[in-house]
Amino acid sequence: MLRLIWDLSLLLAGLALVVMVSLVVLRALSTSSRKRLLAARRRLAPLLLDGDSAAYGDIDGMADSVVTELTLDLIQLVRGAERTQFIVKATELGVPERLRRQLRSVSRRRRAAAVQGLALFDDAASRGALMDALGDHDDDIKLAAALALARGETRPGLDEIVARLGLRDERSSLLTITLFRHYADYAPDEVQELVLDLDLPLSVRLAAIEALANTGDYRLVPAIVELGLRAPEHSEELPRYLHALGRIGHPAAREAVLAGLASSSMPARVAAAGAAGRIALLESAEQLTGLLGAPEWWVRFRAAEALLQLGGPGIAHLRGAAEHGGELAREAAAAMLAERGIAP
Amino acid sequence: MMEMPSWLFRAAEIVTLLVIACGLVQILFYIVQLLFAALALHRRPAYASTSALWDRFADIAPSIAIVAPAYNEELSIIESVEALLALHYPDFEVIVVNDGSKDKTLRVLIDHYSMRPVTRYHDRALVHRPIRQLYAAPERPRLWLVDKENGGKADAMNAGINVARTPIVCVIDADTLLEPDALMRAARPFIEDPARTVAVGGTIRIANGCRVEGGRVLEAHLPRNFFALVQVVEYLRAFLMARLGLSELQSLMIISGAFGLFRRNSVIDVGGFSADTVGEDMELVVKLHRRMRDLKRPYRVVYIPEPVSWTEAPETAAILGNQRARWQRGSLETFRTHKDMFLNPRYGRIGFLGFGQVFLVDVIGPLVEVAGYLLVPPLWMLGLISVDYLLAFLAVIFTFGIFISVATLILEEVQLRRLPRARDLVILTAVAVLENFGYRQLNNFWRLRGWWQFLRKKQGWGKMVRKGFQRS
Repeated sequence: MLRLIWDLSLLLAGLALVVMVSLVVLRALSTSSRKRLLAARRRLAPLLLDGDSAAYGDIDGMADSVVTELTLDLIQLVRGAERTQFIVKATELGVPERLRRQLRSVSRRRRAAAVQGLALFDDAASRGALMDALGDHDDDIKLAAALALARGETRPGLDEIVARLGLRDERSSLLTITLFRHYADYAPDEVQELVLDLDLPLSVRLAAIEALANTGDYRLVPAIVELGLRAPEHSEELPRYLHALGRIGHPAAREAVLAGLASSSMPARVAAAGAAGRIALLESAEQLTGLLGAPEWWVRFRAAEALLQLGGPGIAHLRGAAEHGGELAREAAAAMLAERGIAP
Repeated sequence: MMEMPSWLFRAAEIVTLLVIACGLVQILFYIVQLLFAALALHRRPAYASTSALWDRFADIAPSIAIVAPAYNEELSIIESVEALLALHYPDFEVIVVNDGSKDKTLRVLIDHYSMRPVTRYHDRALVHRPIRQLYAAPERPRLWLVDKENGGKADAMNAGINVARTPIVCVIDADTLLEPDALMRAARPFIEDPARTVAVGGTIRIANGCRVEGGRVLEAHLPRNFFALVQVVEYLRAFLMARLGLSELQSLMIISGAFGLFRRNSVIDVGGFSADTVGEDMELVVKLHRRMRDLKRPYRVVYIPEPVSWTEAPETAAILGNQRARWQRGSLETFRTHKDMFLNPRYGRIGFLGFGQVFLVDVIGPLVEVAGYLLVPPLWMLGLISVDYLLAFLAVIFTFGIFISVATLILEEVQLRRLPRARDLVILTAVAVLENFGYRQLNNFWRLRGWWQFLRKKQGWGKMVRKGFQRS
C-alpha cells in the first residue's frame, strides 16, 4: 500500500510533466501560426478600408478566420453609412455564411462568437441561423441569439422566445430584462401579456414589469398597483412593483405607494420612498418625514431624497425635521439639505 | 548494537502513518479541487470579448462603489486613482479612503483633483475611526475622498462602505491594478443571479516584472526575482485551483481584500470587516456564510477566474516571511473565532468542506509537515521504519506536490492562456518542480512563525515595504 502511494505519485507527476511538455510544444507551434495570421490581418486591413471590391482578389488564400474576425471588428468600430458599407463588404466576402457554418462547431466559444457576429447581419438566412441557435444546449448562446433576434428589424413573437429559452420553467437573470426591453419598445402588448400570465414564474413576470416600466407606458399602472396591493408584505416582488411604479411615474400609483411607505418591509419602504419622490406625491410628505427617523439608513436616505424631489413643501418638511426631529431624523435632514446646498 | 524494543518500532510506524495520512487527505482535497476547477473553467460563459460583455450587461449592470484604502501612498496614488477612474463600467464611483496617512497622500489628491470639502449624508452602521472630512472633485464626479483617522485597512474599508451609496461595493488595495474590464466581468454573478449572490472574488496575479503604465499592465512578463517567480505559481494554485474549486463546491472561505465585490447590505448585516484580526478578508466571508446559513437563505459566494487584478509581490525573504506569517495568523484567528462552525451540521458544507480545508491546510498542515521533516528521515535512518514509509512520505510532500502545481499550470494553459510566451510555461514548470525543494520548507517555517505569533497573541501587520511597479 505504501509503495503504491509512491508509485502513484510518480506516475501522476510524470504524466503531468509529459502533458505540460506537449502543451509547451503546441504553444510554440501556435505562436508561429498566430504570427502568420497577424501578418495576414495587417495585409487585409488596407484592402477592406480601401473599399475597392476589385481588390478582393488579393484576399484569396487568406485564412477564413482572419477575414471573418477583421470584417466583424471593422463593423463594430463604426456607425451609420460606414457600418452599412462594411456589412455589404462582409456579405460579399461570405462572412455570414462562414458564421452560419461556425454555429455548428463543437466549441462553445466558436458558436458564441458566431452568434455575436450574426447579430450584425439582418438578412433572412442569418435570422434563420439565429432561430436555430435558440435550440442550442448552452443557455448563454440561446440568450445571445434571442437578444440578437430582438434587436433585428423582423423579430419573432415574444411568446416563442419565452418558450424556446425555457423561461416558463427556469429562474431568470437580469439579462431577461434586457431582452424584454427590446420587445417593450416595439411590442409592449406582448410584454404586457407576460406580466398578466400567472402561469409564468414570478421572476419572469417581474422582469417584464421592469422592462415595461422603462418605457413609461401608463397602461400598466392599474395592474401593477393591484399586484402591489396584493403582494405579501415581506415578499421579494413588492419592492420591485413599487420600483416599477416609480419608474413609470404616474400619480395613479398613489394608493400602492402610500401603502408601501407604511410597510414593515425595509426594501418596500425604500422603493416606496423612491417612487413617492419620482411621482412627486405631495400627500406622502408626512409619511416621508416620519421615515427620516427609521432605523435603517437606506430608508432615511431615500425618504430625504424624496422630500427634496417634492420641491418647496418637501424642503419645508426637511427643515422642520432638521430642527425638531429626533436624533436620526435631524441628522438625515440637515445632512441632505447641506449636501444639496440648501440653507437649513 | 543495542536492540530496540518492539513498541518503539510500532510507535515510529504510527507517527509516520499519521503524517502520511494527513498529507494524503490534503492531496485528495487538492485533487477534488482541481477536478471541480476544471469543470468550472469548462462551463464558464463563452463570451470572452469586452465588447460582448458591454453589449449584454451595460443596461442592467448594478452601480458599484470601489473602496480603495490608502495609507502613505503619495507616490502612486494619482496613477492608481486615474486607472480606477478609467475602468470600463457603466455606473461606478471611486471612494479613496485616506487612512490617516503620515505622508502627503491627502494633499496630493486634493491638489491634483482640486477637491473641495463637502457634506455627504452617509451610513454609520459600521464602526470605524472618526472621519475628519469628505471631499469631492467637481470635475471628476465619480471620485470621492474620505479623510479619516488611522485605524488600519479593515477600519478604512468600513468607512468607505459606510460612505458608499451603491448596492455593490468593490474593495481593493490602493496599489491593486485592475484590468479595464475587471468590474464588468466580476459583476456578472450579481447580474445573472441577483437574488442569491452576496460576494464575488476575482483573480490576483503578480505584476512584478510586467510593464506598467498609467496604472495598467501593458505587457505581462514573468518576474526575474526567484521569490516573486515562485509566488506566480503559488497564486495560480491558490486562485485557479483552490478558490475556483471551492467556489464550484460552494465552500469558498476567502475573497481577497485586494479585489472583491460584496453586496453592501450583506456586509453591513454582518458588521463589516473586523479590525481585530489580520485575516479580515477571510473573516468577512466566514461571517457572511454564518449569517446566510443561520437565516437559512439561499446564497452564493463566487470566485470567477477572469476578472484579473495585479499586485506587487514581496521580493525578499524577510518581507515575504512576514506576509506568510501574517496570513497564517489570520487563518488561525478566523478558525478560532468561528470554531463552532467546524464540522457543525448546521453549517452544512461550510462546516465540513470549507472548515475542513482550513483545518487540514492552515491549522494542522504546517505542524504536521514540519513534524514529518523532523521525524520521518531520522526514524528511517535509525531503522525504525522501512524504506516504504520514507517513500510514501516523500510522495505526499514532493511528487504529489509537483503533480498539483503542474496540473494547475496545465489548467491555466488549456483554459485561460494568460501566459504570453511558450518560454514562460517552461520557466513556470521548472519553478513548479523546484519550489518543492527548499522554498516549500521555508514557507512552512514562516507559517510556524505565524502559529507562534498567534499563540503569543501578536497584533498588527508588520512591515510591508513595496518596491513599486516597473513603470515604463
